[in-house]
Amino acid sequence: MFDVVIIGSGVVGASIAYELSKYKLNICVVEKENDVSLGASRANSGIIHGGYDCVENSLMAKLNVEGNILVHQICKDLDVPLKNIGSLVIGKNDEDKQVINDLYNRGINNNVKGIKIIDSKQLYQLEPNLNEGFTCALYCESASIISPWELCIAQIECAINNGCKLNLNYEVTEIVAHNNYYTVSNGENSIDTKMIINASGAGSIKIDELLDECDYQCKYVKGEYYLLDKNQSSIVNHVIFQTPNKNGKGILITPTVHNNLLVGPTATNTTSDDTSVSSDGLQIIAKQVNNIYKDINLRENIRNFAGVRVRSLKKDFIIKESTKNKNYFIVAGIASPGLSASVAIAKKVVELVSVNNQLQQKETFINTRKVIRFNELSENEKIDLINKDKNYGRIVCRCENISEGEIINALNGPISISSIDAIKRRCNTGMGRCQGGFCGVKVMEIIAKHQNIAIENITADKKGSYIISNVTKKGV
Amino acid sequence: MYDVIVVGGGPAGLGSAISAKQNGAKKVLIIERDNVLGGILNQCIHNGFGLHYFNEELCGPEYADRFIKMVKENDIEILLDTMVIEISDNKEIVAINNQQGYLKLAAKSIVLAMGCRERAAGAISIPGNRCAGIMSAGSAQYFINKQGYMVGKKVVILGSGDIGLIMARRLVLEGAQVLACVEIMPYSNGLVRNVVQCLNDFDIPLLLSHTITKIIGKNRVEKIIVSKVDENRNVIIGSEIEFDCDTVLLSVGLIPENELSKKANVDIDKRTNGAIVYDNMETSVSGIFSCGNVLHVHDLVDHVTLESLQAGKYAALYAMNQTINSENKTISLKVDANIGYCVPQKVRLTNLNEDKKISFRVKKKFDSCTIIITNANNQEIKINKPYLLPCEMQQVMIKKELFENCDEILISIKEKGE
Ligand SMILES: Cc1cc2nc3c(=O)[nH]c(=O)nc-3n(C[C@H](O)[C@H](O)[C@H](O)COP(=O)(O)OP(=O)(O)OC[C@H]3O[C@@H](n4cnc5c(N)ncnc54)[C@H](O)[C@@H]3O)c2cc1C
Ligand SMILES: Cc1cc2nc3c(=O)[nH]c(=O)nc-3n(C[C@H](O)[C@H](O)[C@H](O)COP(=O)(O)OP(=O)(O)OC[C@H]3O[C@@H](n4cnc5c(N)ncnc54)[C@H](O)[C@@H]3O)c2cc1C
Repeated sequence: MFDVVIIGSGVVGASIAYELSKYKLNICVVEKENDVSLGASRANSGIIHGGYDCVENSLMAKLNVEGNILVHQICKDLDVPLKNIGSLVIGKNDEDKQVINDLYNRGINNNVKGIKIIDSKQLYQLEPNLNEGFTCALYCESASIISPWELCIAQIECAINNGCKLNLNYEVTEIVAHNNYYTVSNGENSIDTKMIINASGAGSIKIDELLDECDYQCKYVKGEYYLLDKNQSSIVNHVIFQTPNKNGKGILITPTVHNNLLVGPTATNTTSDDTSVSSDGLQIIAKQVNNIYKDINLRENIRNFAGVRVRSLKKDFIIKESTKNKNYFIVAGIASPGLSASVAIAKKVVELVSVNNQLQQKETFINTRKVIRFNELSENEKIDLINKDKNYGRIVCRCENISEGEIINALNGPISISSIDAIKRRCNTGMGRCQGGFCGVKVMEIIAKHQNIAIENITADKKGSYIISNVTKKGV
Repeated sequence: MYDVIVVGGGPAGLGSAISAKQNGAKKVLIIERDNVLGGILNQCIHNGFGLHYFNEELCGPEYADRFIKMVKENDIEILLDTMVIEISDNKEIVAINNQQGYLKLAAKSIVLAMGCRERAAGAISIPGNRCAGIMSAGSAQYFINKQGYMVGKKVVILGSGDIGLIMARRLVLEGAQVLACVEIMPYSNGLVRNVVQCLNDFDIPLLLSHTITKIIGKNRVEKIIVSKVDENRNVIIGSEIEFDCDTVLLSVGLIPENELSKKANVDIDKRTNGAIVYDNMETSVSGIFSCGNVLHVHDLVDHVTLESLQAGKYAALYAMNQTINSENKTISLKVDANIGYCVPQKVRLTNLNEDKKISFRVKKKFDSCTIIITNANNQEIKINKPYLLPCEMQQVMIKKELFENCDEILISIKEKGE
């Protein structure tokens, strides 16, 4: 019997697993995909927002601002890439100025740290490559950029190191409520647990319905992106938002922690699992980007992708214990700024759980994680490392200079993985301009050898994304 | 201290190392990241190499083998499985491997011969799903020819570059169905002989002025939509054709691999994505030379070899202090709007003892036309051509006399009747 089953290993489920694993609890995370962070948590803008954008007194506002502060320590402890580069909402005319003023006031009410309104001179000092004609901006010093999937992976890994279980490829399709426990099942294996936390993102309503729950509605809004080559990243220094107007927020432009430039997202209504990219969406982005920076060249694109936001019609996060099913906790409608708020959402969940359950802190909690990133080391560190382990001397990904040693580390990690993209999320192989054209094959060879599986069984990404269809005739 | 270090052991690297040695360099080293020499030729098991250089038709590995033998006979040092990760402008090379670890090597001169990479799917932004089954033609070539794995059963090829054409035939021979080769331009981007031998002979339709407008598939490609485009390459609504396929191979261009060159502060030509070079294949950094696909994309390996012999020779001469490469007197080679680029981009006055071979590519297709080379004194060379295609690199010899007393040479194309 588990104390807690967490359904979903997006950044929200991962943060909850991390927080709860500090307590003497038997925890199991179940995830339908073959790795963690394959939902909204891998396809977003990667911004830790300041928190001035959220409606005053909402749960979103509170948890965004708290999360923005808490995430720094977690990233330090767990070696997650985060850069505190600050954000700017840039404005042109009086109308924009009014909106920026409103955002500023909201920020102050929401307790956002480090915000101020700046004039055009200050703006162009911060962003010298910005097109001419912008007159003012809301500067938010506390906004950061983060690797969203690494925040997720790191917290799950840490939870596992502290005793948490992770069941991948486990799609919850049945839940039976007993007197004082639940049985969760994927149709094949069942798990008994005292508590359930539904952190299944776009799947939350389906899970609720298994328990005849659900008193909220969600809509699904797709956001599409261009991810540009590293050679574009020096154009932009901060997270750049346009001033929202009657047509919406418009696209944003931001450097990523991996030194690419991200341009997007769009916002179109869609279904919960539609991550396709559309020509209309790409055109919307193309139309806007050079109105902000004329130097950005979309032909330097290395990848397009899309993510699906799950917005509750109540326009706020839903974080509560069910009134019908005791010890069933719902964490739903976690739209943007869900990434920024995730670690605070987890604290909130712990609070809710502890109302009716005695939580006891573990005496020892392993709160460290270290990732070797060969390319970032000094010359002497590189020499030492190769001397210790020759695998660091074999460079596999030529765009990002990733060594075999790093890939083996990922394969030895607490989460059992066997796809090329799982390696990419952990080591950045194939993140560069050739997008794995060169290293994909080599990564496959290393996975096959290390996990002792046939190369035909290695997928690009999720289940079913096979790469090799059959063998050749071998000259016969 | 090496006289010459060659980065990359493909045909360009092999040719330049041999030439450096034969022109007097004593200590020559080739550094190659793969576990064999030969570069991309190792996966090109088809015929058609060496027609110009050897007057023989060889397959890729055979062509490479001839040079690998010469490298061994010429007492050239080789480091395999070794990746060069940095080159400084004072010609120090940092390389790593899993035997010697971290190596710092100094050279009097360096030849850059890192080849090119294929343009990836991102570069062309096809709408639809991000599923598996979309791969560059060269990656498929590696899987099939080197690993013995098939990448799909029903394939559509996007782009009609040579690698795509060669792979169309290869896939059919291995039992896959190739449903079509789709090309956005109104003409093929591959050599005529490849269109005939790889598509026509196998009844594979070549859809010119078409492109893929959507890729559909949950985890693996299931279906694609192909549409016709007008002369401005805008998609024509209503022209959609559906193909049920599990694989899309991309053959949409090659990009010289110059990350290292940039670290060494070598000036890059935006048009070629390769270094700007003088007539002796020397880059803007004195003592660093460049040749082969890292300099500009070649369609024939024979041309790579010839270019590399030049680079190797001058790298050797530089190492032995036999050249004085003063910057002050140079002639620039300019091209008109019909031509994409030319290589070399500059000629040194101090080096006018021989005729110069210039390579260039036209930007679009020309029927019967004239290549005109003019100097500032209005002296001209005219060469008539029945046709010119962007996919076929052109080479012209310019007599040394034409360079005398001028600081600029212009290459232009004139269409018949103009
Ligand atoms: C385009 C876009 C841009 C965004 N930008 C930002 C931003 O810049 N800053 C910010 O703070 N926020 C941003 N967000 C919001 C943020 O990405 C989300 O709030 C956050 O990722 C939600 O995490 P999650 O764990 O709730 O959901 P998910 O990451 O979707 O995780 C849910 C998990 O549950 C699993 N699951 C579902 N059903 C089942 C089942 N039946 N059984 C087992 N497992 C199941 C899924 O496979 C998935 O792994 C953005 C979102 C989008 C879409
Ligand atoms: C997939 C593909 C198929 C082709 N098919 C044909 C064909 O059928 N017929 C034809 O005539 N031409 C073909 N070509 C063109 C062919 O590339 C050239 O004719 C020729 O191979 C180019 O020679 P190169 O030495 O410049 O480059 P390459 O052959 O690419 O060699 C470059 C070498 O440098 C090494 N290298 C690169 N960076 C480093 C580093 N940092 N450290 C150490 N080593 C490094 C690489 O591993 C490689 O071995 C093809 C090209 C490609 C990409």
